[in-house]
Amino acid sequence: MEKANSQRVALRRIAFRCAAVLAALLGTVLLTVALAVYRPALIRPLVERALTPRGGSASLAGLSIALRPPGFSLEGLVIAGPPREGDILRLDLLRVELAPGRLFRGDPWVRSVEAQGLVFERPRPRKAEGPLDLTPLARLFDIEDLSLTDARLRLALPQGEIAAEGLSVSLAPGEGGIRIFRGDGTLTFRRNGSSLAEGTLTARGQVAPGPAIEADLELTPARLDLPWLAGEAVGRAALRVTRKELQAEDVSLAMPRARLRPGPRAPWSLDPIHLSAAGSVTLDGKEPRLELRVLDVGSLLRARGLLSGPTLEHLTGTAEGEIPRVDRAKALLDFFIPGRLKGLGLEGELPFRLKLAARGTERVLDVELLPRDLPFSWPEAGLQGRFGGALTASSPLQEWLQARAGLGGRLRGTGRLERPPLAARMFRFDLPLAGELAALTLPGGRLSAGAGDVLFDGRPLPLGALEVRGNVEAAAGIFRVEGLDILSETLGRLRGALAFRGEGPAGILEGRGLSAGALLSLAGVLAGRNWADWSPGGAVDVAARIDSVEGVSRVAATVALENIAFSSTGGDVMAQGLAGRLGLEARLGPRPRLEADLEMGRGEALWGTVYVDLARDPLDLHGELTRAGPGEYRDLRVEGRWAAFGRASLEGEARREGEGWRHEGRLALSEAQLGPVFRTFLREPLAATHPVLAGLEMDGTARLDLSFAGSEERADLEGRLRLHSGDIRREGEPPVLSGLDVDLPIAYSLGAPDPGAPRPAEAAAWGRLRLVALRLAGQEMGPVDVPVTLVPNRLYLDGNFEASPYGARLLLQRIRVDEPLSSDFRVDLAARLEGLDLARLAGEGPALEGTLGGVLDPVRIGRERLTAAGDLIGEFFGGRMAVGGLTAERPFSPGREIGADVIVHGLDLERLSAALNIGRITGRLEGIAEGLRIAYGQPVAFRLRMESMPVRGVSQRVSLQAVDTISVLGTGATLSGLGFTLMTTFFREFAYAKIGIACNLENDVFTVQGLIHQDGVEYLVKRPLFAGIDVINRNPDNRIGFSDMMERLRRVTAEGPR
Amino acid sequence: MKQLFSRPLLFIPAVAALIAACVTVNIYFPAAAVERTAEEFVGDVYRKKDHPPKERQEPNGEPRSRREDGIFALARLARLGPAPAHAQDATTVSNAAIRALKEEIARRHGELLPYYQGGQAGITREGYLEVRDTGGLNLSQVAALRRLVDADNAARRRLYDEVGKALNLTPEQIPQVRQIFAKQWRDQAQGGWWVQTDDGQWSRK
Repeated sequence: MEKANSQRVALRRIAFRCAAVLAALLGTVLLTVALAVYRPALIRPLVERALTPRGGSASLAGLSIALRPPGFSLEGLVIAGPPREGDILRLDLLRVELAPGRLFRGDPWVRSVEAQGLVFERPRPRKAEGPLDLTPLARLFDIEDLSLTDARLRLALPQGEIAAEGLSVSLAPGEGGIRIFRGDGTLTFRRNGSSLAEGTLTARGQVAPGPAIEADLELTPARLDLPWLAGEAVGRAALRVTRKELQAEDVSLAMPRARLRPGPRAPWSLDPIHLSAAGSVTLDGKEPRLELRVLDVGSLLRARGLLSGPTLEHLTGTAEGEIPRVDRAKALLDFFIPGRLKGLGLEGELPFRLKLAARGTERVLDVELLPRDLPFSWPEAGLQGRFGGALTASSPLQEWLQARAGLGGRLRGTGRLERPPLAARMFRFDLPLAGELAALTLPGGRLSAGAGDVLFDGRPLPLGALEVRGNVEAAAGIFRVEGLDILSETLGRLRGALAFRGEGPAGILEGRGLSAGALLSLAGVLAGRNWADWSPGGAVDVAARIDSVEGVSRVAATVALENIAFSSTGGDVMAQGLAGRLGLEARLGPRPRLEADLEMGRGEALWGTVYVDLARDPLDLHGELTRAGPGEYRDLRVEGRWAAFGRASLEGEARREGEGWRHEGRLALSEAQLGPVFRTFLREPLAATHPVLAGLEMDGTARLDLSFAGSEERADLEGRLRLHSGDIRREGEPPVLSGLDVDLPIAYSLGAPDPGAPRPAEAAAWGRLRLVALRLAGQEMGPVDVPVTLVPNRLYLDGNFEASPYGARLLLQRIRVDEPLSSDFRVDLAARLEGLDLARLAGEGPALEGTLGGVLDPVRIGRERLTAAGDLIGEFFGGRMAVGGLTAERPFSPGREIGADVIVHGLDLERLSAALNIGRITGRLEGIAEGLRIAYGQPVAFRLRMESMPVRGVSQRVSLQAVDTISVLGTGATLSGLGFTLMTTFFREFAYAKIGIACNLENDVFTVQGLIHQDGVEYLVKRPLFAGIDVINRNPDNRIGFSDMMERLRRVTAEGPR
Repeated sequence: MKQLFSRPLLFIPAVAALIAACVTVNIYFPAAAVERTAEEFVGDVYRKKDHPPKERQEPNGEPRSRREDGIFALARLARLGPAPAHAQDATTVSNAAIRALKEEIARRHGELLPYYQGGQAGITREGYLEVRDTGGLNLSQVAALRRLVDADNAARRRLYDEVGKALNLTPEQIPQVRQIFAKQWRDQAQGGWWVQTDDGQWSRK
């Protein structure tokens, strides 16, 4: 009970205290209101303090408060923000009249608001936090009558400064609770002191009891003056604001005569720009939505799309459109395109798609370019074609500004290349895109061309189907191709990596087991020659390094040759098993220079019948060449050693003149060993046709120093040839030639039509030819020491060549060789022969008696024929003999045919018959052998007439053995039998009156006939009147076969006395 | 004759034939002699390897020159006269150069025989040899074969010239000689050798 009482007491106390507090508060409020109404100056500091922002200040010139009707007015209000922000608000007058009674009815409880001289300035931009707050617009629903005049706003934003001048807004009460809304002002947007946009905004509408603001906004006239776009603009929008959101319907903006300013170039006049859109956002800045119905930027770009999201920061959506004419767009954007790509031409329509998406806290913008069979051309690179596919770029918005958008997509297409001399009729490309805008990559890029589609100078390169793969990276002006893989259907595969900088490409390329045949075919096509029929084989390993030296691209390659084989079209040139190394270094500057080192140490080569075994005679060459300009090559230098053959060097230059080439330079051969040269280039190839060469060996050295100048048709040579210690021999035999030393000045015109220079007079133009000995047909000639020279185009040998063949004295004089380097050479000389001993000439044959001598002048020797004017005259078996009409067909061939006419007079038959061992015949003989031709040591043809000539004091008798000889030769039978035995018992010799025999040889048939005809009888031997012996030919067609005649001759000359 | 002139249909062709006969130039080419020569020459060359050319034999197997022995010799003592001709066959052509060339070609034929049989060398329609396939040969062997073929072709060229010269032919007639020899080279070739037909194709006999 006590407890209940104490609780009641406590409650009373609490109620009492609360009532006391409320009474005090009410009193205070009443006192304050009374003070505010009647003594406003007393509360003005309080108001100023309430209006003062943190760190800022506020001042109020006047304050008045009224109770009936309730309201207040402020005069001379100035509010300044913190100094670091610089915000300032000025208000000359603000008069507010309230209608508190409406507060609980939902009607506008602010009866009227009048504001004059409102100025707000924010000189420094402030970072926006959170969504844009539009809720102050809702305050218009609480105001029945509003009059804001001459307001000015100046607001600094990160993008510039926005200002509103002469701003006025009014709400005027109308019927049915509708208030008429009006507003207008001039809006300006500036940046860096320049006006970028300026226009007058007019709003007409109403505030309905809904409540809702419905207004038509009109922006006109307005002017845009952006750095890249300028022109007059007109804008309209239908605006609706409710307590929850702001809706803008039928927003349209048009620039009928816009001008685009693409960089520093003159402005472009565009077709009209037109924007049609709609949008909405809640007043607290959420759920923004923008529908882009039409955007047409002067027919350069068309787009439409929709963006929405919970807040502006999370706005997402897509827009898509197209660039109707890429060429126009590219022309406008040309200023922004990197230098090398400026020449890239695109035509047609390019669709695109933009997508704004939220990724975590970031908004990501995806841009997709979707070319469909878009034609392109790049005249500078000689490219044109078509492509399609998709190029995507995706990145958070802020990274777009740093060109760090990630790239993706894939472009495919076809094209052709015309970059003389290189061309591609058609190639295909497939380029996956990756990387970033500033660092493009093409992972697994692929370029391919069909067989025969790649051309050089209009000739298809024999590469077969060609495919190039690689990963391309482009960054900071450098294109890198990693994992480069070049696959040729015919050539093989090359792998490597390349980088393209401004100064040129760099990298490596390697290929193993490349087809040598394909390489040769390729080289043939590049050189304009058809080497495809050379049927080459083998493999080549190539390792090439490409770099730049002093701004010039350099290619250094090592080529390993293995088991190379080829054969020329006609098989004249063949090679097998060639192996070696080729080192190449090329500098590809304005004056391209090539250096090459070739080492061949294995394999065989065959040129015609010249065979070379490179394992025995390895080749080592170094060459250099500079291309001074189109069709002009300088600093050509080739030098090297070919095993035992010697060293060679060639220096010179060549340039194109018309359809041909002119060249000049110097050729030097040194340390040339005559032995290998003779063996390789003469003996072995020619021994089959010239058996005399078989087994010959040569020693000695040679040296040649030659300058040359001319064209492909004609060249002048000048220099000197020196042979030293020349020696030709066959094993086990005396040297054919020994002690040959030649110092020959050379002046020669290749291709000149027989210049025929005269014999030079000055001594300096002559060299020497020295020869210790020359052995021909068993006869030795020498020593010889004569002046020699070669002038165009004659070789002169001055002095005499003297020899002693068969005991004679042979003198060769005035030796001249016309066109000595031609197969149509002609030798011209004079020969004097004295005392040729016919017995020594016959050797082991029948013992001839007599001598011959005479002058043959001129003797002319060509490849096909030798002729000699003059006769050799001498004694022959006691008579006289003349040999004339000397000729030789094919004098340098083993089948040479020697021709002559022989006349004998007063020949002593007794001595002749004794020498021939054919029996005894006495008397004298005269005769002539015409058309004598001898080949391979045997007579081919002759017409022989022999007749005895009576000489006083000389008997004319013929022995029985001689008659037998005649019988054997004439009939093939010896005299034998009983009659012959009886005759030999009584007679050994017979007298004859005349011998007359004609013997012809033609077509291997001898015809023997008598020259004495009497009473219808043909006598070979006619007896005297009373006694003797007749030899009669009863066969008018007496023909004896060659082999029979040889047999008969063998019998009569070999059987000895019978 | 009167009848002939009275019938124009016969007269006109007769006159035309006479005119044609007047303007025809007949160039003599001893085809039979060349053919016989070629047949004998080629036969001798091809037989040389196994059967050296036989000495010319009379039908009874004895050299004809030997037949004149005996009683005829005495009868000739008083009035000796050469025996009847014992010349070689007059329908062939020969001389020292041709015989030497035959020896040379026959000698080389033995070296060429493996190449004929192996198909590396063939006989052309022009009467020469050609290296037609070097498969299976190394280059030194190719060089040897090529030298043989070159030498043989040079000898054959001289042969055709010599035959023409022996028959007093003009240079323009040498190709006919060559073609006749070409036919013999091919006709007498052994089975398995490669020869070129007249239309230029190669075939194996």
